Amino acid sequence: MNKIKLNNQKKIGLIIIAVMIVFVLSGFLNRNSFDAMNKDLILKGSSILHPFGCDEFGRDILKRTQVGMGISVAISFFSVIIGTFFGTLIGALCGYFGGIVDDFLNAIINVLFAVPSLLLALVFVSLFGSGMVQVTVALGIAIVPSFAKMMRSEFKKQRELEYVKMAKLIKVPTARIIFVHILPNVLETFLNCVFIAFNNCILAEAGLSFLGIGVQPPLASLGSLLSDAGGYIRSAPYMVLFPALSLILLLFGIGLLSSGESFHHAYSKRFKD
Amino acid sequence: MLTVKDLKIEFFDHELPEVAVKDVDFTIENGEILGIVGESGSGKSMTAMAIAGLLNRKDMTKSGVIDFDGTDILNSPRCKIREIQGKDIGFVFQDPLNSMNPVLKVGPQVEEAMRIRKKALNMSKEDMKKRALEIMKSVGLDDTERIYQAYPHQISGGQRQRAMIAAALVLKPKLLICDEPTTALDVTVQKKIIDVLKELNQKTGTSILFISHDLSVIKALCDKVVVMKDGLVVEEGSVRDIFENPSKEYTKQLIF
Amino acid sequence: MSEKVCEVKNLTYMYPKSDKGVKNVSLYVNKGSIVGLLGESGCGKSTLAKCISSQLKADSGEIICQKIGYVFQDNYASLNPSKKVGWLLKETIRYSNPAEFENSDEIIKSILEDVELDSTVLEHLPNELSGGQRQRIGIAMALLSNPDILIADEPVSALDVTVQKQVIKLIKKLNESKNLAILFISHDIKVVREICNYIYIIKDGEVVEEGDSEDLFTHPSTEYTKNLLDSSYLENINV
Repeated sequence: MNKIKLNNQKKIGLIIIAVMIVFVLSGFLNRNSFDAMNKDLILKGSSILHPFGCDEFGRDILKRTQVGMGISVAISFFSVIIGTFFGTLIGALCGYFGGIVDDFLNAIINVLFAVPSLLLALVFVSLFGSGMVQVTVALGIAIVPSFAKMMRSEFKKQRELEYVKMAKLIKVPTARIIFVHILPNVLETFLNCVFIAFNNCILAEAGLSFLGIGVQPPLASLGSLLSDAGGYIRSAPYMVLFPALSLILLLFGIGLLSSGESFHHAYSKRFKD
Repeated sequence: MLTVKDLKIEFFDHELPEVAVKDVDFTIENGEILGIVGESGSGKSMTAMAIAGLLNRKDMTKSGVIDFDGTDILNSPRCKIREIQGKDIGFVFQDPLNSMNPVLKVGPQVEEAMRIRKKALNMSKEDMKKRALEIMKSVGLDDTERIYQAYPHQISGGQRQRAMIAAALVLKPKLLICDEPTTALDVTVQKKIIDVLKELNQKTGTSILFISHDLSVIKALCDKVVVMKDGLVVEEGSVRDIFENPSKEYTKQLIF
Repeated sequence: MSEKVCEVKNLTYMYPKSDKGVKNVSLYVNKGSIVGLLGESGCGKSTLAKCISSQLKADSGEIICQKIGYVFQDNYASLNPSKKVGWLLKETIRYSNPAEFENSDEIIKSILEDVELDSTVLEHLPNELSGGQRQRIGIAMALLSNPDILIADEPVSALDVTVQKQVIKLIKKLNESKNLAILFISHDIKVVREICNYIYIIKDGEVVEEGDSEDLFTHPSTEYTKNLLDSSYLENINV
C-alpha cells in the first residue's frame, strides 16, 4: 500500500511536534492556575516553581504558554478543517465539472481573494463579536480561496486522465469518482496545502490576538501572550522570550514536516515482463 | 573513429547498485551508420548519452573506454568535452517538442551551436543566418524563411525534427547521434526523415549512430547493427547478416 | 451474413471551432471479427472510437452498438495509480455488472486466467507492474462488463515489440475463445496486418479505403494507402 516514507527533515519535524504536544499536555500537571494573580510575584524571573517566570499580574507564564499554545493550535486546527472542507469541495467541483459551475464558483473565489484575509477576519469579528468561535470561522473562511484554487487545478489535471474516463465508462457515480477515485491521487498537494494553511492560521491567529480581537482575557493564546509581553520587553524580556520561542519551534516543526520529498510514494519497484 | 570498449555504467540512486550498461564494445568508422536496437530499459540510450558526454551525474560510475578521434570522452575534463559537443558530435533527441525551447524561435535554436563559438568561428550574424538557412534547406525543409521565424509549436512534428537535425548538423560534426528520432512521428514522416539522414550520410560522409526499437527502420538505414538487451550486447554484425540469419532467439523475437 | 455487433452510419463529429473531426463515416463490425482502424496521428480514429463508446456525442449519424468494452492506449494513465489492482477490478464489477457482485472473487479469478495473469497482481499497485501486465489488466477491466465488442484504442502502441506480440496473441485468443468482436485502432501497419480481418484506412476524418486485410495490403487502390505501405518498410520484415 502507500508507504509513507519519512526523510530526516520529516523525522525532525515529527519529533519537534511530539515535544510540543507533550509540552501542552503537561500543562494539565502544572498546578499553577493560568489566571490566578499574585501581587508578590509581579514580573518575577525564573524560579523553580515558575520556570518561565511571571507576568505583570503575577501569573505563571509557563502555564499560560501551555494553555495559549493549546488554544492557538485548537483554533488553527478547526479553522483548517473548515477551510479544507469547503476549499476541497469547491475546488473539486470547479475542476471536475468545469464550464458554468467552474465560472460561477471561480467568480466567488476571486472575490474572496480580492479581500485580504485579515480584513475579512476583522469584518467578521466586528459583525459577530470577538471570541474563539468567531476567530476560528473567520480564519477558516480566509483559507478557502487559496485551497480551492490549488484543488481546482489538481482536479482539472486529473480529470483528463484516462482512469477517470474509464470510471465514467463503467458508470461509477460522480461523487464516488471525485472523492474515492481522484482524491487519493491529489493527496500530496492536499497535505502540503493543509500544512501551509495550518502554519498561516497559527500566525494569523497570533496576529489577530495581537490586535486584541482574538481570544479574550483572561484566556491566553500565543498571540495575546506576545502582545501583552511587548510592553515589558526591556524590564522582563523572558515574558516575550518563552512564548515566542515556543511559537517559532512549533512553526519550524510544521514547516519541516511539510517540506522535502512527497509523502505519497506510489512508485516503488517495477517488475519486468 | 569512435571506439567503445568494455563500457559499464552503474547507478547508485537506489539501495542496490543498478547496472545499466555492461560490456559494450563496438566501433564506428568514418562514414558508417551504426544502429543500436533494443527495447525499453536495454541501455541503448544510456550508451548514446555516455558517448555524447552527457552523463555527468554524481550517483553513477562509468568505466571502460570511449575513444572519439583520440579523445577519451569518459575521462576528459568537462571543458574539453564541451568543446566536442555540438562541434564534432551532434545529438538529436526523441521528442522534437520537448527538445526545443518553446519560447525561442526555431532559427536561433538552429544557430545556437554557432553562437556560443562566435569568436572562435569569427562569424557575423548574417553569416550565421545564412548557414542556418542553408543547413535547414539541406535537411529537406522548404519554406526555410518562415520556419526560421516560427516558434516550435507553429510547425509540424516532422519539421521540428528536421530543424533539430539541422541544429545538430550546423557545425558539420563528424558523428551524429540520433536517439529514437522517428519514434514520435507518423510513418510517412518517418520515412522522409530516414531518407534525409541517408542522403546526408552519402553527401557529407557524416557517421551516424542511430538508436531505435524498430528493426525495420534500422534495416532501411544502417550498415551495422548492435542488438542490446538488459544492458548487454546480444548480437552484433552487419545488417544483412543479422536479418538473414539471426543467431540469437531474442533477435528473432524482435523481428516482427 | 453474420450478425453485426456494431454498426455506424454516416457519423459526423466536428470539434468545436476547428475543421478536425470525423466526417460522414460508415462502418460495421461483425460478430467474432477483428476490424482495424488504421490512420496517422490526428486523422480522427480515436475521435471515432470515442463517439462509438459515447464519450463524445456525435453531431449527426447513427450508432447501433451492443455492449462495449473499452481499452485505452496509455496504460499508465488508465489505471488509477493509488488503488490496488484487486480494488480496481472489484470496483469495475460493482458498477458495470452489479448483479454479479457477490461472486466477484470468482469472476476476478477467471478473468485473470483469461488474460494470463496470476493472482499475485491483485495485491500490487498499477505502477509496480510492467507495461504488459498493466495492459492485460486494462483488457481484464474491459472484459468484466461482458461486452459484445471490445474497442481497443492503440492498445499496444506504448509497449515494447516483444510485449506487443504477447498482447496481440492474447487479443487474438480472446477473439477466438469468446467469439468477441474487436475494433482495433492503431497507427502501426505491422500490428494491424498481424491481427485484423478487415481494415478501414482513415485520413483527415474520412474513410479513404476499406477491405479485407490481405487484399488491402497486396492491392492498395488509393495513393495514400500506397504511400503508407511504402513508408513502413514492410519489405524489411519476414513474417
